[in-house]
Amino acid sequence: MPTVFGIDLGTTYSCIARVGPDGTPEVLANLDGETTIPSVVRFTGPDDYVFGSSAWREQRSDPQNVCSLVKRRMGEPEWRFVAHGRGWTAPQVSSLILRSLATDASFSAGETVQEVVITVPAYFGDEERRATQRAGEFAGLTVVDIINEPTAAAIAHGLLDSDAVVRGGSRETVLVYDLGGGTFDITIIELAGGAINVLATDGDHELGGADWDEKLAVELARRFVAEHPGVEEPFDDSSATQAFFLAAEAAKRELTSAQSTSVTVEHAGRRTTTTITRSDLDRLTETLLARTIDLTHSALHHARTRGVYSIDRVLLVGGSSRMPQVAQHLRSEFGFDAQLADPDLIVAKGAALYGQKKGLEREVRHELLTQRRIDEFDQISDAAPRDFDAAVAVVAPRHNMTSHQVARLVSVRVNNVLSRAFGVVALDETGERYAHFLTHRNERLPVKITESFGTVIDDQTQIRLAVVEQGGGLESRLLDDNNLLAEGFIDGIPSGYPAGTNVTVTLYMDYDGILQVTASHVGVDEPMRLQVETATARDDRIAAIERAEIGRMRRQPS
Amino acid sequence: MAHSPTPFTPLPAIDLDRYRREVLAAVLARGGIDATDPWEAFALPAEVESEPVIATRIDEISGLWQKDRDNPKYRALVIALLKQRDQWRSQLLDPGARGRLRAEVAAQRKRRRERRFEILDPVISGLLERHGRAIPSDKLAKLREVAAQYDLSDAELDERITELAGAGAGGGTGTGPGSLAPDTESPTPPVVAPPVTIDPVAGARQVRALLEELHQLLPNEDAFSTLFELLGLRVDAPAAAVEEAVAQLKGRNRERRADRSRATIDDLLALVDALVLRGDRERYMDAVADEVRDRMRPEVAAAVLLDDRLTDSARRRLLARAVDDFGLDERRAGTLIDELSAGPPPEPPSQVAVRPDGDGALVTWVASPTSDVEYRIVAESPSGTARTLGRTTACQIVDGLPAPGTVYVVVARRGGSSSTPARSADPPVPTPAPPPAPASPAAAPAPSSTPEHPTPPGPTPAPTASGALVGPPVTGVSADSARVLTWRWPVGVTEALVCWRADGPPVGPDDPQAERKKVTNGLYDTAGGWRLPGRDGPLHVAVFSGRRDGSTLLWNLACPEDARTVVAP
Repeated sequence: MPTVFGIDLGTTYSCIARVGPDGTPEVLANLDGETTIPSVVRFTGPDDYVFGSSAWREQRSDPQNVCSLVKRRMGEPEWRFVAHGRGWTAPQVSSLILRSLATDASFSAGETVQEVVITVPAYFGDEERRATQRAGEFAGLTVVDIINEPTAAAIAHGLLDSDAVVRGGSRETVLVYDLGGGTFDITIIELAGGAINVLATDGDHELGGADWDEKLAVELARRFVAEHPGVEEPFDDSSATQAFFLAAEAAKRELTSAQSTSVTVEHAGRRTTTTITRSDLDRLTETLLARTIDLTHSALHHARTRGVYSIDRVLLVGGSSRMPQVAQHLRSEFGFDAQLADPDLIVAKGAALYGQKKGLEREVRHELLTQRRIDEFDQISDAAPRDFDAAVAVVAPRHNMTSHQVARLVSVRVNNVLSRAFGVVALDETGERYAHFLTHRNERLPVKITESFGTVIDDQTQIRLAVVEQGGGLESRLLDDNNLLAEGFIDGIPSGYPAGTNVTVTLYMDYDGILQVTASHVGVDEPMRLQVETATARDDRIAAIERAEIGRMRRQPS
Repeated sequence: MAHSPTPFTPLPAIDLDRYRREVLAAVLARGGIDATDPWEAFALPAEVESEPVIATRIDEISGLWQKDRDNPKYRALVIALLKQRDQWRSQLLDPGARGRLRAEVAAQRKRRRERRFEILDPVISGLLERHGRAIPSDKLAKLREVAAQYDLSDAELDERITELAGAGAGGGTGTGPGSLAPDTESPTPPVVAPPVTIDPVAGARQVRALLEELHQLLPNEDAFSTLFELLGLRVDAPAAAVEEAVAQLKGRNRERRADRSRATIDDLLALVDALVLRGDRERYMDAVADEVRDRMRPEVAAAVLLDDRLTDSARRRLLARAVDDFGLDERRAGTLIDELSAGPPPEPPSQVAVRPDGDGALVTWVASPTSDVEYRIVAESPSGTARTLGRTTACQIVDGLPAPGTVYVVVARRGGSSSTPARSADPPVPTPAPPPAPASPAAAPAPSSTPEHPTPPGPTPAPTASGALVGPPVTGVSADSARVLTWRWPVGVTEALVCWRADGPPVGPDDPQAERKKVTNGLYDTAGGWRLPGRDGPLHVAVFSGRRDGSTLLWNLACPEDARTVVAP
């Protein structure tokens, strides 16, 4: 059975890992020996590109053809990066990153990377998750699952081995503070009863290390302009913009260990050398840190509604959580003693462990099916304990694992929650359209809700059903605040039914996060079924073109 | 049967840097998306009528906008342009709609040009009415000065005077209706990249930049000038009301989808916390008023120009503008208008110099040639944070908390109007002096001879009580109910020693039974006095004046009745 690799597709850096022969996750280096690789693509021609550090290095010399921070554009169908007369969508650019990672890792792993688990911020909505899935497919990979970054971090941190998980010991709660390059996630996880349960999640994907860099770059530009009045502003020039951002990022890194650093920036033949202290950085970015603290309060509030009043462990994940002020603020605000948890690599490692679990599940299930111990509609958990043990005993030796190890990994459940509310567009008493939510953020998956609505007029022959997803951090009735995921019609309703006739809407989301909506009217035999996948299915033709376009792209050597 | 597409020649490609400089910078300087049109935004020559060419250009420029979505200077503008794109696109690609839009745009450009003269037109008309075409040369010179502040050249002003003099009753203004030549309106100076710190002055600038960004992002919503306007509150709203408004806005903001406008509002709400709730809202509003002063200066100058004074009606109009358009409270608005209309500003002081002074830095300057001025001294750190040291009529002040690289800015003020700032020599870098070493005097060079801290050439500010080793005592010591002490500083005295005892009056500056604290005039002015540490019982307080003799601080042992008080519990 092929290895399932884990990929952390980050805003600024990406990383790929697998579980090695000794059962521990290992991060795979590229041909240059790098384990974290800049998520940067430079288009060198209409059909050619370079990826990673070499693209990153050219940001200054060829700024208009270098694409970075593409993850922030996932889920924006209109977005294109235009280079050499061609426009690329966010999934297309991301697919180049994934394909390059996979190709390089295949060399160092000695096996082809085909099946992968890709991580996404917990706070990603449906559209962004689908865009990520599509990026994987464009790259020619088989996406076994998409999992949340904080969950992956928790898995890699050994929580699969936690007493609470393995032996159903006392409950343990873990807060994962994940400040990445472009996104911030806060997740509270409970380990209990043989399961990893996500209790609450919140975040902001307009908040990450790149915003810290920006505040610093703006300050450098201000000092430069003050020293050289009358010279063109740096941000009017692409090359200078990149140079100031690169200098800012380097200074930020320096300041994680030093109290001050000297920065030199050049533009238009002028140069400014200036000192940035850690307290300068703190003052400049205080509002950003305050926003992460606000979101942490919000997640803790949700956790309290689920009966969790204390946090046993706090993990700092994401490269930006290295900034000393993060741990300081968490201590002063909440009294947390946060642990820096291998912040750059842990997510990819967790994805690899999860990939291993998915691979083992598949094999155990295959054994059970082959032995006719379960049928194709059953879950592994439906198997009798003896049959399960027998299947595990067959699978374990193939992986140099003990039956106990395989049984433990397969048995552990990872229970997720909804990261957004879902609902339908309805009419209020005044006839205004509004978002009516049936499920809510932080509800545990799977979720199934049925609600009744009424037709609006007598003899109504058609009903329009529009499915919406919460767009912001809190639910809003305003349609503009929300995302339209799918719409469809119940047609051919015979006349004779008065206004107010019952229309039943059922919303169902399984563990896989695929949303299904059905609606039925008493006058129509077949209920209308809207699977939200169909929201993008109408773009299948376009997706096929995009896939073909990306298939022609040639990677140039670094 | 399939038709092959008609071949066409696209417009020459435009480079992002060139597009930024030629289009985005100009649009931003004029105020953003409301001040542009599709021909300018898509860099589309007026004569192009081919829809395929237009469509290709729109796609090309949209690609440039997308690339600038992470550019801190242009992000808000390009996001607004991207929102507007589809509507413009459909109008431009439909010949009928394009024609109608063309006419609208020509009229808009004309109106925009007219608006530049909005403030000056009544003044020019008034002068023409009184003097005919023979506007007195002193008035004309002042008019040119004011016009220059609106980026109007002498030629443009002359043209306008001719137009308003009646010769051009038709009101032609150059760019005729229907013409879509590139908009040559000269932009106001580019917006400097916004600085970001939590110091009130830098914080106020950051707030303004974020509020401007927010207005670019949400052009159809109200524009705000201050944090208080954002919250819908008066400047003197109680803290509880501020907190409630923040909570409400934060709640509403959390409902918005996670885009740049939401992040901008979140940043602003964090600044409310830093500048208003945790910080000193008066200092924040003072910083706002300082910014408004610069922005309103030409307008007030124009209003004063006609009658050489501000008429009541003009004052009311300007007051309303300072309050309604710039978000000032009535008190600050009144002070500001009076300051700006008070006549020529005083001459600036000169030769600002710094030298180490004990643990602090002594800032000195040569007095302004204008008489009866007061000086306001601000310490600017390299990071751009500004700290007001105080106000004094003397020519020196002590900075008790000097930092390396600090630049001192001294402004002379009289009758509400301020001189241009004078800055300390570059770079003064006063570093705290090392602790006095018990070695030979040669080991401790006199600060004035230290090459890194040169004493300014020219006259050294002389103590007014020439020859006296100690300064005159302070007078008028009193305390308010919050136990804040105030007193009058004699000329030349920059430091005072406050001593206090519970059991009786302090007997001298070195009374071992008394507690004591050295207070500089800078610290005093910043805080508006000095607050005694909390105590239950009554305290006997004495304030001793100090004067520097070289690096030695000498206390005046005399402490007359007027320099003592008893503070009630």
